[in-house]
Amino acid sequence: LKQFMKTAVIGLLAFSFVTGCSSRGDGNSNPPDASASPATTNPSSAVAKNEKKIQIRIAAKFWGGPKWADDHPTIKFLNEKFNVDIKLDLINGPEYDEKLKVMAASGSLPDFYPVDTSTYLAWQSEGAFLELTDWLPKYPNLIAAYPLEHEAMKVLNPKGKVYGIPEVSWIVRDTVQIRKDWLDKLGMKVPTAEEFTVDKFYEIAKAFAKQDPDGNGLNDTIGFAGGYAIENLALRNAFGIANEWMKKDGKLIPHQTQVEEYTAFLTFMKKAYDEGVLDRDFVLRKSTELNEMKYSNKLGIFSYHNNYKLDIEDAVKKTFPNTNPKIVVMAPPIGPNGNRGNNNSSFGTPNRVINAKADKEKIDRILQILNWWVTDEGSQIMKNGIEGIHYKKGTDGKWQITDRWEPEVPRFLNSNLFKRPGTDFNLYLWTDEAELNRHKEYTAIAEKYPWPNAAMGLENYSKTAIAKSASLNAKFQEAVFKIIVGDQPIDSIKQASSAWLANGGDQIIKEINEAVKNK
Amino acid sequence: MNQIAQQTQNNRKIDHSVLRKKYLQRALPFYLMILPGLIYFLVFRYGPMFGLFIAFKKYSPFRGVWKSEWVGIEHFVRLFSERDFMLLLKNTLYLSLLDTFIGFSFPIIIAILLNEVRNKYFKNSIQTILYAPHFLSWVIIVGITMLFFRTQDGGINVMLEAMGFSRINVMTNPNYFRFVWLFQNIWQGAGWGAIIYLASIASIDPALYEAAKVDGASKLRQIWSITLPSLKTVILIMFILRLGSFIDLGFEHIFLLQNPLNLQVSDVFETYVYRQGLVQGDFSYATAVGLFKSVVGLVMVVSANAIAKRLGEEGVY
Repeated sequence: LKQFMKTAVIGLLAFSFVTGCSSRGDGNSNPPDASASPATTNPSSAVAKNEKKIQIRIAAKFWGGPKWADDHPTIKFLNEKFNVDIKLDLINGPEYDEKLKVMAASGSLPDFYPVDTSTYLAWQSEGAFLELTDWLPKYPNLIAAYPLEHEAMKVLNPKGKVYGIPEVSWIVRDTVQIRKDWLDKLGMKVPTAEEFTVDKFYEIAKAFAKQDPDGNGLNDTIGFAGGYAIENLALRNAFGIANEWMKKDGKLIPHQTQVEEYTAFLTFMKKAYDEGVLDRDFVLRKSTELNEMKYSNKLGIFSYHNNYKLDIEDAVKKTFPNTNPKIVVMAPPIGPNGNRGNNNSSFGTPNRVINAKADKEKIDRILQILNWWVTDEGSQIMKNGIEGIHYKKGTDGKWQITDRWEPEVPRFLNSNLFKRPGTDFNLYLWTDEAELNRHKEYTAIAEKYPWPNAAMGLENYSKTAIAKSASLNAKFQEAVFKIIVGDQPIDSIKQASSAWLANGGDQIIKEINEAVKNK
Repeated sequence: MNQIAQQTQNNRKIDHSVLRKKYLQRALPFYLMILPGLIYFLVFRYGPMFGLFIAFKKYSPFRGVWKSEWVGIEHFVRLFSERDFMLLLKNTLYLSLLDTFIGFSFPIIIAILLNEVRNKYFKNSIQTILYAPHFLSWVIIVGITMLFFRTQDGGINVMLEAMGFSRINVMTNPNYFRFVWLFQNIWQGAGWGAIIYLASIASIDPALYEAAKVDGASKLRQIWSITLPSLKTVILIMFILRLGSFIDLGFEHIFLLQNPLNLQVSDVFETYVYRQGLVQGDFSYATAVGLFKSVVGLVMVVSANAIAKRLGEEGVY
């Protein structure tokens, strides 16, 4: 089974990126010194005696890079501070959901772990998670960070109940990014936000595909790429296709019904495919391969998070010393009807849950840790690491990282398990002014054109959607792909749409619209 | 009279128990040797079968196996009335038939050809090259195929384009899927499968060939009239065993080759079970599908064996 899961993983990648990093509003200010936050720190250390040592099993998604061991300095710190014995179970991100199900079946779920929307909703009624409404108010910092009346606390929970602590972070994570050095090389200008239409997008991508922007004399660059659906989302949005669901005439409709919009979009995509502008293997690409293309100087226009800008630039520079990579942030392209948008991140997910089987003492200990984690002091340690080990004060009085920062990734749990609301989690003590500003500017551009899912969280209240949407959507997607590669005429999107409706879609639409009224 | 009868009875008794004792003494080591295998089968093969009854329940991991409610044959009804059931069955049978009839014959052909090679070193190296792929996992095999045949930057396609031909969509065009699958199966398994045939060819009495040569039989004639008939029993046994896994196609391989464009020919019971069971967490339904598959496999083996016996062959049991 293990073997099988491993391979399964390789297949699954497509979606997953998840949770990167970043934030809203106030969080941006520089994290204060560890010692200097008495106002917000809670009395956790003072309050509880924590006499008994308690083992806590924690699971988190793992996306590559160095892996935390159980004797990681931060774990040691937590173990001592809260008198616990933390056992980490780091599960490869793409197979995480499946692994959880296997753990559930074998009765070995961790004490504290993140779950995605579908699992969260499915397991609530099974009594898998601890119900938190009575617990949270006892932890002042935690309840302040996640007030029960916050929308994110309601969206995926039944009325009056809270089964998990949601992630409250990005509004919009990704937007279009372009390799400016490639544009320069081809004598093209970076378009302004107003000039950046889908035609302009196409023009740039085509030049990138055909005119050898990397200058290696080979025809080996790709215009634009995309795995299942992620990368060309901004393009879909430009043609007015809903991010799953949108409101039209007071009713929620799913994107599968937008035949007209799809026709325009598919005409565009088919042309791109036929002319070799769209990656010919877009159907096969996993998200890891898409990343590889960016890092290996093959792809110059893509939708991504700007956090990786420096990584990509460095990696390209390292492998191809003659290049001078520079990535600029773009607004999403404008479609023929003036639509433009970047998909909103899903709201209130993932949820971090406590196993209902945990005993009172263990629950208390977990909540104590979280109550500390959301404070400035806690956040500071959970993302920068331990002073003297992962970072230190330089001779110039400024913070700087040590050799152990890279190999020990002290930010890991803060990025992948739990973080306080906000998007400041990728800003560190030593992050300089310029970087802070870049971060702000980026967030402003990305969030200027939101493209929300109007039925976010509601899909899971439709029984038909739960039972059938996976296979229905797969069929629809198959039709879309077939049209793009030319196996089917563009017209056939009509049949695909009516097939989707006839085989359960109509029922889903009905149920979702009822769910809105009841919400 | 009575006494004599009593006597003999006693004697027989004694004889019997002595015999049994002796027999046990002799056989005990053998029974002990059987034991690990027996335990293995009981614990890892028979034990898990009890889990099958969740196919008749609405299993929830949090309620546990016992407390989940019974639903009778609901899952089976759902399976047989599933819109995709016929498609799954068709795809599964299609691939099974391809593999059983075309894939199955390759090891035999290879064994016979190898047997005719006279140069020992050449024969050994060819044999090694042919069975080496057996040790590669599907991830690697499919990965290599992708590198060659990807449309955008696959080696073959880049070459085709450079030579002025158009690219071919080997990995995404549903028409190619079955052949790619079969070809990879043969490439990976045929050399390994040939070993058992080679071994039984080696045990054929050389006198037969000599006699045939004297009678002026050609090479082909010898193969047809001596080698193949001698292999008949082995082939039959292998075939019956193969039928046992008739409907088992191997999840990994198909899953790796699967993509949204070839789903209509590549979706089989295994991948369906995976989607329902692990992706959607519907354990009971997935178990029901698995049970259905196993029953089909059992029926295939039993009937193939019966047919083989009726034809006067040995069969597997």
